[in-house]
Amino acid sequence: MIKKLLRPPGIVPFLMLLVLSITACSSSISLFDEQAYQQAVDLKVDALALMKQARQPYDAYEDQVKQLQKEMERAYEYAHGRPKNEVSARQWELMKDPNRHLLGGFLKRWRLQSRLSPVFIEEARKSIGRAFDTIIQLESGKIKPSEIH
Amino acid sequence: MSLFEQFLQTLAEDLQTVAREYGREYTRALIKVGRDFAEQTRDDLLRWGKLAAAGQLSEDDFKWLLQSKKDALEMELLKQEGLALVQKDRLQQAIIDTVAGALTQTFSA
Repeated sequence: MIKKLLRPPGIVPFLMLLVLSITACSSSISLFDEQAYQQAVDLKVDALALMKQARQPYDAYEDQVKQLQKEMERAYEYAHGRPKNEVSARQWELMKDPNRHLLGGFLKRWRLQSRLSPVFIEEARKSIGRAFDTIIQLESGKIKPSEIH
Repeated sequence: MSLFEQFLQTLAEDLQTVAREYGREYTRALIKVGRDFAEQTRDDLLRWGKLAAAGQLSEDDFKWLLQSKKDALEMELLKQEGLALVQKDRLQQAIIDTVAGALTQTFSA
């Protein structure tokens, strides 16, 4: 049987299948991960709810802010630890960075100013909500493990 | 025509279809994303401008929101970069399926 397989043209399909099998193993980006997706959705909901409170003094919500920052750090570490997941990890990095202008920056601004104006809060919630959507949409756009043959 | 030539012919035809389909789908999606983001940005800037003029947004808040737009764009571009990698993997998978299909069709006959 081996001789038959190695005899042209029998060897051609065999070699091609071998190459294809090797190629199939080399994906460019991680597969969809249910936990990562759920983490992003939950954080978006919690973040937008807490942001609404930013018209109140920061001190009254400091514990909740710290809890949210911890959850965000957890999401970043989870994304960072997954192989071939650099793009999602970079998104979390931007989202949590206090020196940028997404959730991390908003929470820093709240702490520094003690309370924020309702109009600003509403506009920032829209922007940050959309930024969360980019994380969620990237995760949900990834190939599901069930789609791999 | 040899079996291998038959295989190559089947493969070339199938791959052309796959490449055309994936290319068209991806280009369409990219154009839509670019247009949506541009429209969203225009609407936001107009609204923030009006709110600032009415004194409902401080100059500092306005500047912060402008900066957030820049970061939002970076997030959007990262998403596109990730989805392009997904698309590449999908195309790769489709090519594998096509080649495997052409192999089976030609050599198992």
